[in-house]
Amino acid sequence: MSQEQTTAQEGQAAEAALALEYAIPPRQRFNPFKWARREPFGAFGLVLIGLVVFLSLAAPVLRTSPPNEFAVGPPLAGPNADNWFGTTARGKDVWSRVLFAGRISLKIGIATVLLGTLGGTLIALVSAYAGGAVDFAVGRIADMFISIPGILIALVLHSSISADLPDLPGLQRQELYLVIAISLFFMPGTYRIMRGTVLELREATYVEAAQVVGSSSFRIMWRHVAPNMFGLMIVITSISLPAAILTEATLSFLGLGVPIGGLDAVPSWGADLSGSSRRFFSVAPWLAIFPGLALAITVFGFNIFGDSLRDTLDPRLRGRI
Amino acid sequence: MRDNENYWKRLRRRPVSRRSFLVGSGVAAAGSAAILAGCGDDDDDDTAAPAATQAAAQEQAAAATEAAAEEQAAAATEAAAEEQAAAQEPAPDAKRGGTLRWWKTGEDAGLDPGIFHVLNTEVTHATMTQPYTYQPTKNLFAMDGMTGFEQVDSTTLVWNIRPGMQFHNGDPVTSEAVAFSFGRLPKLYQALGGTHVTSSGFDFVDEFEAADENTVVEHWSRPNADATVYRARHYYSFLNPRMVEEHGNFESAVELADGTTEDMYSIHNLPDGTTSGPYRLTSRTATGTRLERWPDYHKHTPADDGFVEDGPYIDAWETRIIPDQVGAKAAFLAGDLDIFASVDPLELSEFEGQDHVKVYEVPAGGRASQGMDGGKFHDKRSRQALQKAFDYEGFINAIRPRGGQLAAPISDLLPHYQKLSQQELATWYRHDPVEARALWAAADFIHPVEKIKVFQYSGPPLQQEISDYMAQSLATSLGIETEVEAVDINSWAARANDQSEDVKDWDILSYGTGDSGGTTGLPNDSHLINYDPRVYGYVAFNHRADSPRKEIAEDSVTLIGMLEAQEAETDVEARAEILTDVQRWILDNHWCNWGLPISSVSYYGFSSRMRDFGLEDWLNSYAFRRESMWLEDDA
Repeated sequence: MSQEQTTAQEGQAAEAALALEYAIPPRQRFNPFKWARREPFGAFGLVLIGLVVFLSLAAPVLRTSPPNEFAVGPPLAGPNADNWFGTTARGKDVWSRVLFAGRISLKIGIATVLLGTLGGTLIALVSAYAGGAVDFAVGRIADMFISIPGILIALVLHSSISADLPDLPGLQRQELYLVIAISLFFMPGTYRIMRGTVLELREATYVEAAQVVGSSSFRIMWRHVAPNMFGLMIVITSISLPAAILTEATLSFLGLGVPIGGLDAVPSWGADLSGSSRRFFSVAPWLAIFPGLALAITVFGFNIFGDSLRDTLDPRLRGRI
Repeated sequence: MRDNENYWKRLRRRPVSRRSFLVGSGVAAAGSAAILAGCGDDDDDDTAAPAATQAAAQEQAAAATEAAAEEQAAAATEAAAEEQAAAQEPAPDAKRGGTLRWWKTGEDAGLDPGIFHVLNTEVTHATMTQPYTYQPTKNLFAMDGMTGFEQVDSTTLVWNIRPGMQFHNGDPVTSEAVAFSFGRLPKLYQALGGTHVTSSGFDFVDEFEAADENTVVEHWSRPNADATVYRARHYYSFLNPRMVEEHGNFESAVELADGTTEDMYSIHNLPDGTTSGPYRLTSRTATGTRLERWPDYHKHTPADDGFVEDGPYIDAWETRIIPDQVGAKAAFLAGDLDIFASVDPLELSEFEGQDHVKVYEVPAGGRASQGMDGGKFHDKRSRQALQKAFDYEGFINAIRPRGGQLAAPISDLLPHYQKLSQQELATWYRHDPVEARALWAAADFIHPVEKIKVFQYSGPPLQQEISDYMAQSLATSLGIETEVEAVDINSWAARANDQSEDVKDWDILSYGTGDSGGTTGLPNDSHLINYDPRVYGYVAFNHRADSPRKEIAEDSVTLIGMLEAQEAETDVEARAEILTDVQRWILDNHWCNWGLPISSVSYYGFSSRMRDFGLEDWLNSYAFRRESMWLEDDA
């Protein structure tokens, strides 16, 4: 064997070793059962989320009465066969209110997170990729929003714009206000995280290669940078969602949320934990326990599911599902 | 290798992760909730008690008879009297005094006694001298700044001023000062374009004359049956003219009867020396007010009901601002407040077994009004349809957990004037959806009503629930879309009284919770004023004599004639007959406003250390004074 042949063989072996070392594992079919075995808490979270979504969506057929209907049962009746979660001081059915309230929590939570995460990601993508003065200006605006307490933003918006907002299909004026207020609270944080990722991706070899072959900035952002932010976006979404639900409950508790009165009033867990109910918590603890438990279960479910999702989507663990 | 490991093996090697912490927290929270639910004890009792309450409420609603109401009122009064007697036993050798700790929901907006401002009565009652107090339930006048009065003829009232009184800065209280204080009210009313001091309190007075050093004479243009009771209000407090002119806010110049003009001043801050009452205002901040006893306060000799010669006994009044009733209740139960006069019947068990507090049952006497816009509901049939569309029995079951009763136009707290029985009231307050729809369809609407807006001020949760019930009941019975709009109280009042258009921007004005409330002793205040085409009927409900709707204008003239007749009738029995006719006319014509069922009783909480607090006095609107009251622990 000549020296040339030997050198060639060694080179092939080295290339093969290199290829093996840097090989992208083959994409495997997602197996939910395997995933559930690996992430039992995440699976449990998903079950909880599914349960909450099911109960909220199927509320009208789950032995409920209209949530604002008076005298469905005796006033302040404890949990019983007719009223599983008891009744309020005006005889409203707590079971019905808890189920219907899930709708507003999920609706506000999802709308908020979509707007906050998508908005924050988009702003981060444009500003960080553009860099320079644009990045600087957007960064300072984000700093400004981060430095203002979220409750204060909600208060200002409540007194300034909430009355003038339009009713959108599926989103009433007061709900739209909540979505905007909570999104403004989350957007700067999302922007901060995403901006770092864009800065990192901007320096990647394949981005440089795309620049060399003459791809436009828009194409690079859309085709090469954005797809690589998707995993992180999912993780941020899953972590922000419970926080958004809690924020909605907090604002409703403070009277800044959905209207708690009126014929079309939408029950909310946060609102049901405040208002006139608070007066009777010590004589009727079910008024606090069931909305509080529903809120806690929902947030808990999203939290542990989001945690597992983060692990699953972590590139270092890719291919192990 | 790692693929062969299972989750649990890896878990054992890990430090406590965020996820583990979350899981642990979740389990702990669920466990705590379960323990809480389990430890709520009384589960059986709680379930049974409301059921029993409900059954009782239904029975009560079904048999809402006059006899039952009278029996209940008598029992309540008797029980209250017994408890009050026990609370009045003085400690013979103790020094009577103490600091009374009270609360209110917000800051006052002004302290001028002639202008109606909410949340200021603890100051305006205690820092000022009034002619006297009037106890409606006892029909009793107790002299304060006056030693007596005499109605010398049907149009002349003579006042005798208590000699030796002085304002807090030492200026003497003269007859001129008293005549000034009384006489400024109609002029202030004119200068401000109307206040809560309604014209019916003084529009029959030609002059307040300082006849001599201790005598003021009222000269009237016509007889008035309510004047003497009306003068018990804090509006008629004595003010120092010099202080008002030097420190007051200029409002406007008003034209007098003789063609001259007079500058009118309001006074909101009460600088020291403006008033002459038993207490001085020493602090007025965003957290509350503090009043301290004025040592040179005039003596009441001889002592009169609620007044004592060496009083007032209480050294200081501290009123905290607590916006939230739940917070106030917690403070009261913790022993940080002495009065909590809004106990909900459903929370009575919380107060039981607490030695330091005591809850008293008293007649409710409140009002839950639903005003109708005469601009839209000018046809009587439309108003009748609304009233028949409302489910009265359902309302009592849902909103009045300890029973309710139908509300007449005049309060039941005035039994010498309110003669309509519950049975008779039930003939008007009858839920009949079929008839309601027929009436609604037959009614004439110049302004079509496609959707009924119930308009209320935000604040009391019970107010919201009443409006919600109203909206639900009307929607169900009439098959029409309804909505509830709640705004802050100032916007509410402005829109309620807005007369820039022929119609209001609401349809039904909801106000009053009907779960508690006192009375001034006057039928106009309790609550004919709501129907009066000269007062709220005019400004709020478009039921007025100059209405563009012919039928409203004609009926207004009729009602005004009846109201003026009862105001001029000084004989109680004769007046009661007129008032009964007035009420029947109002109900027959479904006039302008209707009262929803009110609570039969209400509950007042007092700390056990309070003595001689005069339970009945707390039902007296506008003129609360009890200088014999004291606190045992501080003695």
